[in-house]
Amino acid sequence: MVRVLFIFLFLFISCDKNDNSSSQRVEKTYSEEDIVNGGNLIIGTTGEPDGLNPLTAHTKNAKDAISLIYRRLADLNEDLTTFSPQLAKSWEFSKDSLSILFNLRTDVKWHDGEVFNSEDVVFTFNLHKNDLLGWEGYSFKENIQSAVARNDSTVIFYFSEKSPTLLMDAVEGYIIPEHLLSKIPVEEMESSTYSRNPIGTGPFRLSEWKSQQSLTLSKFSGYYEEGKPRLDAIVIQIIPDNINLYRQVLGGDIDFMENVPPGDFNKLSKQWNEGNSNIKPYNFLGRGYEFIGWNLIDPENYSQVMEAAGDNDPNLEELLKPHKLFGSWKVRAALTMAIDRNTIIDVVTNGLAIPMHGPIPLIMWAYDPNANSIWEYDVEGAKEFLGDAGWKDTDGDGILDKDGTIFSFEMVTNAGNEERKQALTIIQQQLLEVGIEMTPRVFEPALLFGRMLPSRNLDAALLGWSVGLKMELTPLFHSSSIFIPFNFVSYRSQEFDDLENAAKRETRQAIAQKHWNGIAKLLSWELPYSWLYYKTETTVIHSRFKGVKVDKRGAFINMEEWWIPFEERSDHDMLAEN
Amino acid sequence: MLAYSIRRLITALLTLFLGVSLTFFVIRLAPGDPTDRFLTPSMSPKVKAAITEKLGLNEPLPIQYMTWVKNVIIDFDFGDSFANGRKASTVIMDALPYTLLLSTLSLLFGLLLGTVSGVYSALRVGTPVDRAITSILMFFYSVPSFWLGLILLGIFSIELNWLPGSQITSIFHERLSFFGKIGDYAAHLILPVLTLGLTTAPVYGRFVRSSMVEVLNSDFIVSARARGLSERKIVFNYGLRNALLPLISILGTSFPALFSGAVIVEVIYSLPGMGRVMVDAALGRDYPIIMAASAVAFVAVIIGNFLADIGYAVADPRVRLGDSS
Repeated sequence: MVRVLFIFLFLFISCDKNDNSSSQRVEKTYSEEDIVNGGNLIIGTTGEPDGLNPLTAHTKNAKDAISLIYRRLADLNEDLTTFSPQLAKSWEFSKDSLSILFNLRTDVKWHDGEVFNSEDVVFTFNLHKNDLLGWEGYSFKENIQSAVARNDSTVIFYFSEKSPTLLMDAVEGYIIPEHLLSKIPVEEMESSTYSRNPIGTGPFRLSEWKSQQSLTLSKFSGYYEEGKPRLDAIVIQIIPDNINLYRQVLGGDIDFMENVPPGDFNKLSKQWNEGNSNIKPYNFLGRGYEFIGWNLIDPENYSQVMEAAGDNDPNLEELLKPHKLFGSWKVRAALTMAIDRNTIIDVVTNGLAIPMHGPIPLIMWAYDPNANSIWEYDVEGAKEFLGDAGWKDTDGDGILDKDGTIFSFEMVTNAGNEERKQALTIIQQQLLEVGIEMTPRVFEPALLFGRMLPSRNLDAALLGWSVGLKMELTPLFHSSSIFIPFNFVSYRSQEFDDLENAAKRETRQAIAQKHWNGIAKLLSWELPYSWLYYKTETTVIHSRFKGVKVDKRGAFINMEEWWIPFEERSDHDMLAEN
Repeated sequence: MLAYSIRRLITALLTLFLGVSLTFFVIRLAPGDPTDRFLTPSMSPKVKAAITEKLGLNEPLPIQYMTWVKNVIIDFDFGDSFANGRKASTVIMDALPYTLLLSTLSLLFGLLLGTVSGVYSALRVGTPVDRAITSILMFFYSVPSFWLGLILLGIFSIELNWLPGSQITSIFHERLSFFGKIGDYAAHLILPVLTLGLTTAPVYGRFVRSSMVEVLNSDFIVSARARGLSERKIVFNYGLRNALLPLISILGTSFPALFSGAVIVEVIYSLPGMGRVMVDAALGRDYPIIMAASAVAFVAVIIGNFLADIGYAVADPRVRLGDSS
């Protein structure tokens, strides 16, 4: 219903796409001494958190609020490989690289006044490892055997095998209070009232939660970093309709909003650069990308084989037949060349995205733009490849055919995503240019993800993945994932398996990089996907906030350092916190 | 009367049970399962399996149904939301008051507007004024409430910026005085009530008009006029009282429509009511919430019909007599 509002005028191609960067306006600079405390930040968001227990929350809204309420042992830096201390002051690896010793801070208090210590860390780890809980970061902890408290301020993590990600695995997840949660049975963790009354060690504590309306996070005066947080309170307003939310940003009721519609974002950027607005735009690499997945196997055959043999029959792979269209590499290459990514980006995202050519997300350390095999938009090349593969227009109807079959298929996407629907229409036109008839089909997400992907009952799908901060391609392309929904294209290659296994074990980054480059080259050549574009974030923040740091980790990374000069305070800030 | 009421009550409860049970099976026929919302490539299949088991979704459907019936009837427990683990009854009880407030205010507004315009038209049957009122009512009757909602939102909230367009309170509501708070609620409710009231008023308006026209032409009014009673007394004391009686029956049946209308209006105006709870639950396949919410909706329908029947029986003795003979 609400999405009816998103009427993109996709006939108009944005004229000011050249100006994607955030800010060109010169702003006043401040020094340490200028910093003053006080004031409030009003965040607008479209969804309510599904709880504020880091063990059971799943939505982005919940995770953003959780990042303000809780702390980890250490926090990931912008390079996505190194870490800065948080609850742990320092850490040392053992000589055999099979354990890490963490020295914890001793001056940290929970929001209820209890003192944080090593028991909390061990307790948290044991819950992370508990199968019954189903914590979503479970895969990070698979390589960790145990966590042991040596004394109140020292914890040692023991690992099963060497890996380049030992530290990342150990510090993943927010530390939760043992004194409050140890009495709650694991099965009742999600339904426990703690989810709505969280107690953390972070700079802000939850002081009020009005269902479906707002959450108020107040400054925690016992926070361990001297003088922080600067702001008195952060209010999270829940406004389900994106357009309505954006209007409130323009009206000055909301200070902070993510996912501003691209057209509006470009307009705001222009106003900001001309000095006519105090809403500052931030455009940065996001955490999601869009692609077309080509089903490499015959869906009919797949379902028959699955029915006949069950999941674990080792001969299954031999029984799987290639897809009648996309089983051919030449065809996939032709399709990739027939698609003009730049037009799609201009129309669908108003230029606020970056073309993508290979499997490695642009924010990852392992991303090397030169590693990908790049298939530029080339209609003639596409036609030639299709001809080589035996597809000719013998009956003169404009559509290619081969042995009596015409080149016609359905490309599916999920309902509720206007960008994807638009992209499908453009791709339909582009494929028609080379003589391919593609019918766009939009399915309800539950049907698509719950039934069609698992049963491989589709030809091609236009979808997007969100990006985690750990290098990982196993669920998407590894042959061990052949029967899980993520590898819905049923890609399997010994070369890929070997490269990925090696890359993930390699502790020397330079060599790991070579393996990842090999993977990028392999996949962008074999094309189980045609990658389309990597999305950029369109976040806006009122300019009275200073000390704001926004990068590929998001816009919630240093809110405890945000502050507002007296002369710029607004109505929001004058109202004292009660 | 008592026997009649008890019989109606038993039928009502049976309808409720059958209706909700039907919902139980129908929503499970819909594709997808609640664990799909956890779908991210970084999640291990083991975790998905654990969640499925935790939610009890690995049991055969009849077993799930029996468990559900047992919990609801014996413990009055609708289960915990799959999405956030809160008790379904708590989620509903948080949201229901706002929906009831919106429905009740809209009903009152719709009734008032409908009655006034209906009576006004009835007194001027066939005149251009009557035809104008009829046309306006037909317009509001035919526009969908979500469309009207968006238009009002666009004009009064976005363009003119006179009224808030979302939420039920302002950001710093807690810091207002008592009357300030009341005013704050009122400002936030004007547009939603206007939307819902305007789309329901025509039904009452048309009904009151025709009923009033009929009453005003009946013999007892003619004789009242012959006795020289004042026109005001005739219209309000004799005419209106008799014309409004049949309204009882449509009031009862219009309650469910009002409820479903409120659901849509709440989504448009970001009000924290049942509408958003139901939309989110339906999209996320949050079975316990869907079940609890549809139980509430069924109860609304049944109470509406029940009250209409009882009210009708009270107003018209023939219904009672016919039923018991």
